[in-house]
Amino acid sequence: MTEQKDERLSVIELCNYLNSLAALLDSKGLNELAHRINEASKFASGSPTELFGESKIALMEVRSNVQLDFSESELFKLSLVINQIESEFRRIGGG
Amino acid sequence: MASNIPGIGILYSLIAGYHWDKAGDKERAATNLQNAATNTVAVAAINAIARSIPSDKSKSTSAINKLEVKAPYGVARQANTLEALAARQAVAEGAQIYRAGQFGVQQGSAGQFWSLNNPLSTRNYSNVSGMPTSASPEWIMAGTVRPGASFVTRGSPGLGSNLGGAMEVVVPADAVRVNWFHTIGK
Repeated sequence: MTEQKDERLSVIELCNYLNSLAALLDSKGLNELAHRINEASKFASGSPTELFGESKIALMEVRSNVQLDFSESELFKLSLVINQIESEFRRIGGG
Repeated sequence: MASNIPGIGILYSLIAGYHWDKAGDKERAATNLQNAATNTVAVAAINAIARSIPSDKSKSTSAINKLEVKAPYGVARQANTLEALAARQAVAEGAQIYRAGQFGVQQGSAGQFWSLNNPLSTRNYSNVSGMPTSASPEWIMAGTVRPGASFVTRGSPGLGSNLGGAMEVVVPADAVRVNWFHTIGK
């Protein structure tokens, strides 16, 4: 993560986060959501825009379903990545 | 890359200083800019801009940065960097564009996001395009934008850590004529 020193998010960083998030979801027994994240990460084989777009959709789905299962810091990181994706789209001129 | 191209200062000052919305029509706008340009690089990029201005005078004249394509994740807008404009010119002139992915994951030929880099001949393609090497594509296709179809060119997301940022071409669905499709054996 580039954290808050700047809000950039590289493809590699996003993929690393998706992998760690899928493992976290699995460890909490949230296997369907883990599968959803893994599916989104497969878009890394193609366009970076598709990876970012599909990841955002999957991450928002996760966020709306893990409020009781995630710690505050886990939710913060999830929201941070979603914000970084939105920031990347703004930088390149739209989705 | 852009900083290595001669004439970039001239080009940027021309782009920044010109108010497209006040231009009368395509021909006049292009002529004014071409008269001001003093080298071939600037002229080439300006030609790309001029080509992008709608010739239908009943509509308001659009600025280059108002060109956009509706995409699955929002509206993609034309970038006005020299690299993006050069890419736009190349695509308008029939340059081949490429798309890669995995079966069961992506939209295939209906996909809207394409690359100007051929994965089969680009060394370290995954880094150039911002893709992690672990996500190897199972297919690659190439095509050209259909004549008259709208499109925009811009840098792809994921520029952090100097990864990604290669030019991408965003088109409406089915705006690309596919020239070839290859599967990749494992």
